[in-house]
Amino acid sequence: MEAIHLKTVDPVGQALLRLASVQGLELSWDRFEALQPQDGFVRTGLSCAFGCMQGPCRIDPFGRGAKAGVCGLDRDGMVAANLLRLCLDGAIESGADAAPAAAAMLRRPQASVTAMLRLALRLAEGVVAKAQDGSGSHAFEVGYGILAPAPAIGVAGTIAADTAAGLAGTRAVSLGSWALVNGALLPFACTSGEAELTLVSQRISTLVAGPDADPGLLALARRLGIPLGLEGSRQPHPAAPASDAGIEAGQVGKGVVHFGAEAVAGALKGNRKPIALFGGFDTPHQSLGWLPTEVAPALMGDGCTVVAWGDAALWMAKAGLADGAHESPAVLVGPQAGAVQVVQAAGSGGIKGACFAGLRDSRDVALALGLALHGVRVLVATPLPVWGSKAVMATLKDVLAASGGSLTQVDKPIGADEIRAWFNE
Amino acid sequence: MKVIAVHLDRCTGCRTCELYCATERGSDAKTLLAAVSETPVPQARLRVEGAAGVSMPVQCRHCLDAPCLDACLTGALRRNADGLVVVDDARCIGCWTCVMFCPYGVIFPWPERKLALKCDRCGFMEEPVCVDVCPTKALELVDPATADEVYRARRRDAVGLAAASGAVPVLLDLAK
Repeated sequence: MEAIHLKTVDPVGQALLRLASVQGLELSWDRFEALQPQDGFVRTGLSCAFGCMQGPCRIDPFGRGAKAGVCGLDRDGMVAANLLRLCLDGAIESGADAAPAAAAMLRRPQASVTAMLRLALRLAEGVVAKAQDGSGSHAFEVGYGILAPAPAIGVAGTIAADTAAGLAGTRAVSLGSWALVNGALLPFACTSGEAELTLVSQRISTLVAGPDADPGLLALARRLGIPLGLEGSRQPHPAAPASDAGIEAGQVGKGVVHFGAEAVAGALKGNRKPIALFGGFDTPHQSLGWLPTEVAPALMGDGCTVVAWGDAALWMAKAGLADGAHESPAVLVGPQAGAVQVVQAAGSGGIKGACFAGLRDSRDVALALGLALHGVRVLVATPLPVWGSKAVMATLKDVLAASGGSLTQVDKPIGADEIRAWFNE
Repeated sequence: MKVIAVHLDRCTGCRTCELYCATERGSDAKTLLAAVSETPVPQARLRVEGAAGVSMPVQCRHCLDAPCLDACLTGALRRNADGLVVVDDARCIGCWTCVMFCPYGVIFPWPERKLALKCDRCGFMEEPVCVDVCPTKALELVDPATADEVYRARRRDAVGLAAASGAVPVLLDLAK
């Protein structure tokens, strides 16, 4: 409990963490801590990603144990294959075209490291090309204060169009997902990393969850007796319970998010400052909200236009950094394609760098690689599983340098000062 | 002096203890991802050995009658105030005599640094790294004075197993 500030910077979130602790509720941080240390072979990329059933094979990163998999694959090939599989997963999620070729290459490890990396980058480029968020500019509100007047239906994950239509006219709030209902964004009660905390507040009367919602969120809803699905949403809302978490109406930030190339270009029209792209999703590796709310003001002070996406954009809006009243408000763009559209609108020369505060899934890995391939300096603030092979890291660096971009690797989650220094290099 | 006990039924042979021992105690960077790129290659002070579906981390037992102490030519190996057998790096000349004498094979030559490497039970830390990181809690730091609790439970299990397999009457017969 003494390290509660390391979990989230939001005071209401911290109060909810205490409430959950008192009630003995297991949250994502508890699961994260129970999983420490995370598998060293997977973290270094030395746990084989090939689809064969001879293994599982792991290579000793310090060179005393196994030096190759059962099939003879060495550490460089294993790390490259891991990166390729991550990009393949991202491509499958995005529907990119090179997936069959990657699947064939992953069937047996005969391709060279360079061939695998080139295909990984091709997949990443496909992810970039397929990325889309919708269109138009949408105003939204974010913060626990949304829940102050009365309990609401919580929406998590990606919901189907007919489900969204069913929510029209109800008091629905988003638990971190970017959901459009009747052409308007649902107000955000929280970011995606705080979804479980929001259930603890007892101000969510029903949970409507898409197929990509976390199983832990559903389990917590069941434990708290929160009805699931649209059927539950038609039940009468209970009165707001007295909460120990200090949720008040004023805890709301505002912002406008721009979806689609046209809206993004319009938002950046007339911008003369260098653009610092800062986005990504909540991760338990960092205190939630710390990086966006620390780095963004510093970059604004350094004379940059900050463009944000994903949970980072929500945190900036919560902190008032995206409010029109701010001296140089952050520009918020879509979580899927926003960063790409900024690069297309401003050109890689106008971008100072792109930092991913946290990655949610394989698609984000592919997106980071794809941006680097488009000539952007990219930093991922949490480690990628490529450290097991110097050859892979060097080849990746060379290939990306040829396109004018770079991907900076970190061996541990890095802090706000290091990120600011990276932007100003 | 506390000892590192191993629950054989919990060890999955994942070698997490080895990786993090090498990182924390053998590298300059102290992060796994940076350690794997270091030269000389960081070394762990224990090894996970296994055969036929059984695995077990093996490290220095700090024997009460330690052959390595007698074997050391320079006095680099000594027993400290806590009863742990430790290496004085400044005195070690890398002759590996201790390596040859250790009956458990848990003193490791580190030629790049001309040192003998062995578990010192992370004596200056609250808990040994291997115990701290074991994902299945197969490693446990126990006080021998209270370890009988563990052994008692195992003895009871043994009796229960014997009874379940019908071996108890045979034992009684033998007692006659």
